[in-house]
Amino acid sequence: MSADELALLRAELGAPPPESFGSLDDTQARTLTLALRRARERRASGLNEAVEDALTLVPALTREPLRRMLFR
Amino acid sequence: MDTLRSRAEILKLARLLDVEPRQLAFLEELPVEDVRAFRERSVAALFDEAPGLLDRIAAKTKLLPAGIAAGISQKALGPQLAAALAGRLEPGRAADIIERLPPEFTARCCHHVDPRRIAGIMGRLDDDIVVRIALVLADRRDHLTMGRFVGHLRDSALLRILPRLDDATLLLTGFVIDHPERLGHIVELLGEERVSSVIASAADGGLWPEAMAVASMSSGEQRARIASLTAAQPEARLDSLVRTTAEQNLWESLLPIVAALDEDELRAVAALPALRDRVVLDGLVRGVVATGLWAEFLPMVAALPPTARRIVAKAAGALSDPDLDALAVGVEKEDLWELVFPLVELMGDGARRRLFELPAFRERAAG
Repeated sequence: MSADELALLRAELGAPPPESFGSLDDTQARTLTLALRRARERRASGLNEAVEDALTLVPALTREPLRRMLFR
Repeated sequence: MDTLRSRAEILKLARLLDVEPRQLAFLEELPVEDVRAFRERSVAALFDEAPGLLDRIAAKTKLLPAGIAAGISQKALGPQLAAALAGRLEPGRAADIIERLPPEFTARCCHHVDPRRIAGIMGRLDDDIVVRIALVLADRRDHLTMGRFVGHLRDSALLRILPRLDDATLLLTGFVIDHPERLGHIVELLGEERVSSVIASAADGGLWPEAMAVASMSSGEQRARIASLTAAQPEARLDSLVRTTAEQNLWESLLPIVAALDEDELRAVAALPALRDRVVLDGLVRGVVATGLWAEFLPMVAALPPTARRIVAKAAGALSDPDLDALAVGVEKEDLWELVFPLVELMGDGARRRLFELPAFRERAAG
């Protein structure tokens, strides 16, 4: 794995990958980096959607104060 | 065993990252402990994000009675946010809320719960709730999530759940269990009759790899029990075990199980039709060379019928010099010469000559 790909994977993981991962080629490393990135994005957008869905259940007038109180 | 453990680890990582397992098949080449470590670091990367938001919501939730918090979780938050919050709550509080939720909703949350928080929450849940959630997960065929939770269940809950799961569910869940050190105990709780039924289902349902993984992860005593109960299966089922092992090159998983058999059981296995098949035996010898499992393999060779032993001798005689040397080194290390000499006698002259010229053999002769 090139140093660039290793740096990308490490950044996405927030920690160094185990040493043996250095034997992966760049395409394999990129697959892991992208899978991790997409999983993080999905999780973040899933939580945001859940927050928005939750807010639709309260009266419109109280939505913004509640959003500020809970979610920001 | 590592091949099967790798497969299970890849399934778990693929589920965590929400990708197809085949996209991560290249990880089979890496040490399974490293793949597991990568998964654990991925869990931290995914679940430690947005702690501020979740902690704020969790703090507000503390002010609400558990029943109302449960209502909000179900009606407003949905499974993912509710699970994320459960991971930020004090485990006792999370358990209080979960006990007020319908098991169907909780089961949908389980997949999203931070795996590091499971032990704390499970220890505080009432058995009735745990049993109901487990049965919903089984209905949903969510074996990966069951595998994350099963290692944390109390015996009192397990004893109510296990009889209500079908054999395939037991195998598929055991295959991906997150705490394999608990497997031996779970097998003990199942009892012999049920274990025999599970083994029969492995043969009939194409789940031999999962069964081998479960046996391999079980403790020595339970592994021996599983091995004996397997050897007592009808010949056709045992034959399918050997053929599956050969097709998927899983000798490293099967041989330690075979090594747990007593002499009579070993003879029954050695007489299987599949172990007279040249292709199977060639693969077996190559598998042993690759894994160094000579101590597990040679007693079985001694029990093979003469024709099969000759095939093994021929396959061993056709090994390259480095592989033959590895054989000699492995045999020396485990002091298995007594078992090897009858095999050497069956080899052709050329192979025998090559063998005797190997350093390990010369040292043996000199010593």
